[in-house]
Order: sequence, then C-alpha cells, then structure tokens
Amino acid sequence: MFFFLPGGMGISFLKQYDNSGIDLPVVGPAFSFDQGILQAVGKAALGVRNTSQWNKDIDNPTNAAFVDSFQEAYGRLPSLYASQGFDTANLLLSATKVADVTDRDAFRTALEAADFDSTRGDFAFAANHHPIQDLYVREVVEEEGVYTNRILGLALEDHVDAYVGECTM
Amino acid sequence: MTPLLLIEQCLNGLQFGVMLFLMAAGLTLVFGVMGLINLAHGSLFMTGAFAAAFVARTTGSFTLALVAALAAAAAAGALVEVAIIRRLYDRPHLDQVLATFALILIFSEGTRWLFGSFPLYLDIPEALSGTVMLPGGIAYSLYRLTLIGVGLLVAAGLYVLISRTRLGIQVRAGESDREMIAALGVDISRLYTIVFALGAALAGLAGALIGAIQSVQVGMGEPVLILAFVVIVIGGIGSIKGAFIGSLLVGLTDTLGGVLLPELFALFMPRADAASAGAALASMSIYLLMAVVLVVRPAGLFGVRT
Amino acid sequence: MTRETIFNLLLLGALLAVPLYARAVDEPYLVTLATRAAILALAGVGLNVALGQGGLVSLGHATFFGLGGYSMGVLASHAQGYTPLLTWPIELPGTTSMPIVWLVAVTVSGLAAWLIGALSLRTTGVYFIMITLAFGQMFYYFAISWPAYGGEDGLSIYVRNGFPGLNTLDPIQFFGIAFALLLLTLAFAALLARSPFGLALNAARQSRARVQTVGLSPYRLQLTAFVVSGMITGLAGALFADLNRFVSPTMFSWQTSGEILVFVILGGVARLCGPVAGAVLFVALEHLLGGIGDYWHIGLGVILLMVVLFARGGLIGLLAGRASVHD
Repeated sequence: MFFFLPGGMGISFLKQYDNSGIDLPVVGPAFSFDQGILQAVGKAALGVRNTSQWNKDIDNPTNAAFVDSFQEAYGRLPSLYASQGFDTANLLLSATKVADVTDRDAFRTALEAADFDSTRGDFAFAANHHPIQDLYVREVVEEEGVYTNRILGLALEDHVDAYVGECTM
Repeated sequence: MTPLLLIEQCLNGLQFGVMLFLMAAGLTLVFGVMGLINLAHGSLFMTGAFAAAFVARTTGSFTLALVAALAAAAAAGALVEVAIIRRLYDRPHLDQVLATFALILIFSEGTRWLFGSFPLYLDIPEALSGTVMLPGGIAYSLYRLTLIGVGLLVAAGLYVLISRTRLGIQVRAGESDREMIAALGVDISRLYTIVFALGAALAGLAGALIGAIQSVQVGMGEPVLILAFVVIVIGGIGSIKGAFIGSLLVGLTDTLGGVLLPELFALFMPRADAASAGAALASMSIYLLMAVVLVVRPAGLFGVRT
Repeated sequence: MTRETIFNLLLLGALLAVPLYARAVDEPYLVTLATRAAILALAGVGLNVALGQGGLVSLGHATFFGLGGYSMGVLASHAQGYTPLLTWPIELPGTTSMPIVWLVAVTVSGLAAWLIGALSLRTTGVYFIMITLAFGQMFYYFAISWPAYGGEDGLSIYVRNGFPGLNTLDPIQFFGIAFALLLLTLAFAALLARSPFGLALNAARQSRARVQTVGLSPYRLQLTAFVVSGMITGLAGALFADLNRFVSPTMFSWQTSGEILVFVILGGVARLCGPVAGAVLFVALEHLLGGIGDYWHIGLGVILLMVVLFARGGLIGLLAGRASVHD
C-alpha cells in the first residue's frame, strides 16, 4: 500500500493503520517518513520501505561532515529537508564565487554548473534544471533508541526527469 | 460501498462526534454560564495532549498520562480564567474574541518554546490496541470503541452533574440570570472558575485521547475548535443537550459525507473528478449544515433566545 | 485640526517616507515591506467599514480577501497559459491588466458579500460571528479541494500585472499604486462616515430599535455596509496576490480573518486611519521582533492582549485621545 501524507497527517495515518489490523506492507516517499516525524510515529513505522534522494548514511566525506556537525549543533539527526537546505546554500555560495548576483545570465550559468560538494555525492543539473540524481530505497529502523532510516539499496542511478526531452528551456 | 463499510464509517462518525462533544460541552457551558466566547479552547485541547505525551514518555503509563492531561488542562484553564478571562465577562464579544485570539498565539508559541516544533510521540496503550470482532463480522478498533464509551460516559456524567447536583443547579441558574444568583449569595467568581476549569479539563481529556491516534503538534487544537463552534451554534449556545446532538450530527455528517459524496459523484462523473468534487463538498458540508440550521432556527436547535 | 488628523497625516507621511528612503539607500526589501503594510491596511479599511462604522464583527473577511486574490490569480493564470477563461457563449481571455483585474475582484467580492451578508445579517451577536466564520471556512475548503487552480499547493503567477503607463515590476511604482489606492479608499471611507448613509449606519450600530422607529431599515444599511466592506477587502486581496505573485487557500483561512481583525483593533477600531496604524505596527513588529527571536508571536499575543484589556482605543486611541465624531 502506497501513501503520501507529510507531517502530522502522516503520523495520524501510520498510527491508525498500525492499529487497524491490516498487514499489507506500506511504502511511500521519504516525505512521509522523514526524521522529524519518525519519533512521533514510533514503532508503527518500523520496517516500512521508503524512497529518497538522500539519507544520512550516504558514504561521502561531505555528507559525513554534514551529519556530524548538524548533530553537534542541534542535538538531533538531520532530516532530508536539512540536507536540501545545506546543499542549496552551498550551491548559491559556489555560484557567488564565480559570478555577481546582479549579472543574471552569468549567475544563472554558474548555478547550472553546480560546482560544489553535495551531500549526495556527485550532483549535476539536467537540461531542464532538474537534478540528475540517485534514488535510494531506505527502511525505517531503530538505532540507539532513535527511529531513523537505513539505506537498503539503490533504486535508480543517475535518474533524469522523464520530461527532460519536452522541456523548452 | 458495502454495508460493512457503511457501519464502520457510522461508528467512526460516532467516535468523532463524542470527541467533539467533549470540546463542545466545555465551550457551550462557558458561553452559557459566563456569556464568554473562548477561542483559546483549542489551546486547552493542545495542552492536554502535550501533557499526556510528556507524562507518557516519562512514566510509560497511559492512565497517568490521562490524569496529567486532565490536571494540566484544568490548571491552565483556572490560571487563565483568574488572570485574564475574568476581565472579559462584561466586555463586548469583539473584545473576547480578540483577547482569546491573543491567548491562542501565546499558548501556541509557548508550547513550541517548551517542547520544540516537532510533533511528540503518544501511542495507544497495549491493552487497548488491536481490533475487536463486532456482531456482523466487523473488525473495529478497540481504542475507538473505548473512545465512544468514554464520550458517552462523560455525557452521562455531565447530565447527572447539571441536573442532580448543587453545582449543576448553580450552573443552570447562572445561565438564566447571573445577577440574581450573585444577589442570592452564590460566590460567582468561584463558580466561574470551576466551570471554566471543568470545560478546560474536558478539552484536555479530548486532546489526550485524540492525540494517541493523531499527531500531537502545535496548532492541533484549532481545527477542532472551529468544529466545536459549529457544533454549539447548531446545537444552540448554552445547551449541553444541544451540544450532544449537534456533535453527533456534525461527526456523522463529516465522516459519512467524506465517504459517501465521492461515491455519489462517481455515478455521473469520471472517478478522479468525483473524488475531488466529493472531497470539496464533504469538507464544506458541516458549514452548509450550520448555515441551513441558522437560517431556519437562528438560535440553533435547542438554543434559548435571550 | 484635531490631534487625530495630525496623527493621521504623520502616519501616512511616514508610510510614504519609508519607501522613498529605502530607494535612496537602495534597500528594495523595505519598499516591499511598506507595500505589504499598505495593502494590509487597505484590507483593514474594508473591514473597518463593516466593523467600526457598522458594528458588525465579521470573522470571515478573509473570504473577500481570498476572492480578490483568486480573481487575480485565475485571470493571470489563464493569461500566462494563453488559455481562455470561457469559450461559450463568448470567448473570454485571461488578463493581466490591473484595472480590469481590480474591477473583477471588486465585483466578485461584492457579489459574495451581498449573498453572505443577506444570509448572515438575519442573525446577531455571536451567531453572526460564527456564521461569517463558517462562510470563510467553506471557501477555504473549496479552494483547497479545487485542483484546477492549484488546490492546496496554491497558484504561482509568473507575471506582475500591468498598469497602463507604469512599470509595475519596479517596487517603488507598485508601492505608489498601492498607496494611491489606500489614500483613495481612506477618502471614500471618510466621506462615507460623514454622509447621511454613514450617520444612519452609525445610529443602527448604536441602537437598532431607534433607527427602525424613524423608518430606516437597519438590515439594509448593514447589508450595504457589508457589501462595500467586502469590495474594499477584495481589492486588497487582488493587490496582495499581485505583490506576492502567489495565491493560496491560506488567504481564505480564519487565521487571516483574525489577523485583519487584529490590525484594525491594534490601530484603533472605528478610527479612520486605525487600520493603517495597525497594519504598519504589525508589519514593523513582524520585521523587528522576528529578527530578535523565533517565538515573537508570543510578543504579538501579549501586545494584543494588553491593547484589548487596557488600551481599547488602539494605538490611535492612545496617541490621539478620544475620537471627536464618535460615541
């Protein structure tokens, strides 16, 4: 059974689903199982598979440093939203190094180049400015009393958005 | 649409209704006795849920969590009444709306400051989890049946309180003529504080019970608050009986509407359109119901025209 | 010149001065902030006609704010997508021309206000508050569930509407438009208050029975006031959508209704420039307190509470004393 309900709605759904007696396996996108809401759902989410473009155990130095420094600064594990914010900030910084923000065309080209270290490893934009990305399958587990996700495997590698050919950009 | 599904949804509607009753009873009592519109009632719902989540996390006992919810909400209610609400009884409704709106802001941000922005964990106790086989082959959630039971018990308890006890006499007298009972020597301030705290406790209980199956987060009280207002307007402000009938009406309309309207539209529309049109109409249905009731009976179903 | 008039002029002058200063020091963000204050003030002026002059406590004014916003959004989305709004019986294209958008926004909100008012004004007191709230919620849920114009995600508008002769993408020129509309509406509200209609409305607010005995219908007076009020707030909604280039069902929510009510009260209900003072104060607090801490809403709540409990005349009441032609 697939569902997509972010935030509070996802918590309600999972708790009630767990209590309903139906035992179909649940799958969903990462937004229904992000780090912020997993603690509120608790054991009802254990074992659920979900897909995401990022998880804390992606193996590269940028990600490791990000997760550690985040934990030190805020006392909790980062969510995928935090990774997106971190990457976006670094992307903007990388563009400001080569172009001035008032020169729109140059800044746009600098952003398209995406020359920065991403928590996802290699990062590049496709022709329609949608990222070319790896998508992972994760499973909800409990680690040291904290509910979090663990990568099971790679679902799609270097996946390009399906409409990139039709984009007029 | 099988009969089984329909019965289950009726039960869901009933459960939703009795939980709304817990909220609406407090709201209508406060308005009936004190003439006060309290927008912060939803915040008391939230306070109960957070207190329950906190106590459940530290002690692991759901019973203690419920007790904590009742106590915390009642205490918050009493505190707010003595400090702020007390000054609003003689004010026009606009002032009451604004002051209690301000209280919502303070409560919400205060809770966020104390507990953080992430939702808290609160789960059904082991003893009440799982399903029960009802006659007819329906496997229904035991917890929800418990909620229905609790709601009906509270309704019965309130009925006994209002009609058979001394406090109930004072409440009923206060609804009819405030000045008279003050003149007859009843301590009005204490009565008001007790009524407010009672309403708050009921809201807190509802918060804790609902929080176990939904999410305990800041702002959880506001949607329920709006529904509770719809209930008391439909039922008639000041009438507990009206609140009970109104909450069952609203609970059933909302739940059954959400299930049946898309099915109805699917009869003459493509599935996808029917789902969205049905969902739209279902969420508007209770407000339509309220508008219709007000046009036909401007004081609500059991309301007293003062 | 009364103290209030002096204060009003100073307030409007300050609101005009901020973007001019911002332009001089090249801080376009402040211009946007001032525009936001002006538009929210306009919404408040609308509510004030119903609330301050008519005594109608409407907790559903976001309905008109949202209708104005969505009028603009729907027209713009059809224009930017090059699809016509209607193909039968006549072909109606979308538009991004401000005067037309404003006309549509005002008409739509006015019609809605007429329908809602006709039903709601049969009730009084708290029932009136509740039924206006209910209508707001109905529109809110409708907007969420209607996928054609974004539904819950809202609608992004890629173009800023055009006004003949001006470059509306320039922040200061857009501010000029909003400010000019605000001034015009204030002038209109002032004239309305002094007109025979306004005086009768004021009387109906204070004593319905007496107004009926002199042969006027309080229901008709209040309905007219409600419609006018809805139209002004609708215009503000269209401008707001234009400023943000984004419309979402939140514009219909009861929290938005509450916020508009808050500006009017903070500034001074029934005072001509009360909504302006309230909106300016609100935007300023949002900007300044928001920078200090994450939980600035507590501060806002406390201030609002203090105003309601101790300073019933709002900011203008505090600074300019009792009103001269009132109560």
